[in-house]
Amino acid sequence: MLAGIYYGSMYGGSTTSILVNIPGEAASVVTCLDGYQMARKGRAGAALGMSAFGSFIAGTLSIIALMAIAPPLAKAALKFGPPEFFTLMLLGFILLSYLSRGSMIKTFMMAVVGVIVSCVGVDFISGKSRFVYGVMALEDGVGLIPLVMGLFGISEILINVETCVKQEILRTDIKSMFPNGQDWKDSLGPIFRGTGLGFLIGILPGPGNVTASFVSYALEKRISKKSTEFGTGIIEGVAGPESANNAATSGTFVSLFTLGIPTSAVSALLLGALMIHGMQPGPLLIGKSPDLFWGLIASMYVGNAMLLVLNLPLIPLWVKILKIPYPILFPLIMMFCLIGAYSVDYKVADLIIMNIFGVLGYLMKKCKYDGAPLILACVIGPMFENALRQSLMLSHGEFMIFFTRPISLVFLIATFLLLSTALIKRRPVARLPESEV
Amino acid sequence: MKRMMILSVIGVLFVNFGVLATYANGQAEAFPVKPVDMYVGFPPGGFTAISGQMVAAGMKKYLNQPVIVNFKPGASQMIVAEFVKNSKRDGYTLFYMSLHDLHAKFALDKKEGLPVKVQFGEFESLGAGPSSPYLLAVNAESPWKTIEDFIAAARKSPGSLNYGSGGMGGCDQLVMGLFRQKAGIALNHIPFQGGGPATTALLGGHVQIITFSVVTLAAHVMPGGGLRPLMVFDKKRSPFLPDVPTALEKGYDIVLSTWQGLSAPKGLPRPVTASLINAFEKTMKDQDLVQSLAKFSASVTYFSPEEVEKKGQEEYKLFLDIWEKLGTK
Repeated sequence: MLAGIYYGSMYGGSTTSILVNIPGEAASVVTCLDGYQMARKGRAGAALGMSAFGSFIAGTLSIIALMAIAPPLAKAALKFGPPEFFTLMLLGFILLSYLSRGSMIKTFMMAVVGVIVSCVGVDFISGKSRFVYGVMALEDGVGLIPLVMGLFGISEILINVETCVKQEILRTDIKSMFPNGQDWKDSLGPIFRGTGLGFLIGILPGPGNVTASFVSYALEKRISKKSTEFGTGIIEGVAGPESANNAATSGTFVSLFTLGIPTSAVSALLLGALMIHGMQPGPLLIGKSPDLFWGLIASMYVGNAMLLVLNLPLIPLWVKILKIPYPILFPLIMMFCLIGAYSVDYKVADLIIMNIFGVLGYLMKKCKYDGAPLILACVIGPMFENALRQSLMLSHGEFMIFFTRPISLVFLIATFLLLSTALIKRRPVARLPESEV
Repeated sequence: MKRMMILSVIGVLFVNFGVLATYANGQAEAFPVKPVDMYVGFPPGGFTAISGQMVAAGMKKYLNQPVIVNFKPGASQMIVAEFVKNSKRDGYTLFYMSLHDLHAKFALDKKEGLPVKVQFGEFESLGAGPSSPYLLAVNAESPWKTIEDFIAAARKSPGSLNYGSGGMGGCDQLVMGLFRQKAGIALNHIPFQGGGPATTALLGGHVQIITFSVVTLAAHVMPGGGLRPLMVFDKKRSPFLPDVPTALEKGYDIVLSTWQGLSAPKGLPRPVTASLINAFEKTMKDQDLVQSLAKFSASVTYFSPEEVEKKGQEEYKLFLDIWEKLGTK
């Protein structure tokens, strides 16, 4: 049941991203970029549909991968130590440039703000508090959920309340409820690439489905012939990330099932649940309790399929949500945001944080600063910083550690290649017409 | 109409008497009359949360009222500690604490001279039970088969072997600190964000030794799990790991376990405290609880409230001493 709920929430997050530009969860932030633009063009149905199909395909393929190649992959993942994480995160920061719509400087400014926000809290390496100012609620940092909901959700509500957007735009004939043949042709590549990428990223402890969705978006933009159109509402920008975050979900289970180590908060919960039922997760799990394990896998398949079956017929219904008058819709959204943010840790402080970032997000949107780089930097920043410090502690201060370890070296070379090919080809980093988002 | 009025007045009077009677008797006799709230300072899924839920289920039997587990994670249990400290002293708000973590946090705050919002000693213990001793583990493929091998290797090249901890300020760092002090070795400390990442690092060979509770490491120190247990910090061998020697056997007087207990804000009426202590004690002796905890490789060592206070003070002083002697290395 837990696995089913987790899968459901992975898909559910994209519905609101596409319809009202408010991500249902941090991994759906990227879906807002193109998904909402598609909705504004009247193609919400296609976006929702492709999101569902992409998630289903990715989910199914990654469960198969989980069954088939999990153990060797998990062993390989163990080889990732602090130096490997550092160089991987370095590569991740390069991706920031692909997220820029409009001014590159503004993107980087937001990234820096994201890194600063991620520094709030007690630093586990030194034990010192940073930016806490004696407020206990900040000791564990700014939560990602309140941050995302505030920055994207509350700010969107505020913007709309201010401008009283006429809803005619969204009332135009919904051109098609479902993706058409062309959509499928465009999306297949992103879906498969997103699946592979998402699964691999999900296996690693640390970067999870949030990072997977950003990486997929950046990858699709980089290799697409239509890279200038990213951000204006093209289906590749929805299909790829949605597949990636579903695949990453299964990826996080790899570590849990093969090694017994949970790599995310959700898999930690699943670990507890499995132990209560007498399953001892670890390398011996599949051997010792095969029927329970395969039952869990089966439930994931079923959950995945049910998601598709339940959601496809409901797409026309979801699209009708756009027709609800804003005075009713937005207070409802606000209420759900508040409930959602409180349900994370039952702290009123999270609600305050959400609202502060809501106002900040509103100001950002007015001044055309994008929130996506902030989120990516907030997720990658701590991993980047901590991995660097841990690596230097391991090597007693030698920077050569990043070059002497093979996997780390590979990432460094990849970073170098990425940067140099961009310079050599003089490929213009896609400057998109500044959109309102 | 008049009859209706008289009847309703009599009805109201009855209800009033009923309420007054309960009140006058002192709620203690009827305690608890409504569900009791038990607060845990960690998110659900962790062992404190899980054992808390088991204890709540057990106490429900003896209190005849549901005990509801609430989660208020944050600031190493300080958020929930402050919350319970400021709650009503009626016995319906209890704090299920991870005692070793709390003492480590108090000692560290004291040593760093940080302003403490909650003082050590502001809670009244109702008893302690679920516990799991700390365990030293190395990678199963490493060349050290016994603790002596490891110590010899560490002495040969001081500071070259790495030990992973669950984060600066954690209790496991204290345990390792005490061990390093008594064994006379120097290790390179690499902090990780919790037991999970540290265990992963050990499995991957990035650090050479870690120490966490038997519960945390259970899945991995079983044969085939990837780790080799070297020593357990307890008075006697763990029933779950009978082949692992204790620190006492090897000549190190270190006995440290993770332990959880229930407490309430100071100032509860005596009868309320008595019934809570009684219910908790019965729960600890309950076989259902012992068996559920055994699934997680945890055991139950019951401590009465007085024993908890005594052991708590000793532990706090020990931790303060270690922090001061070793600094935060």
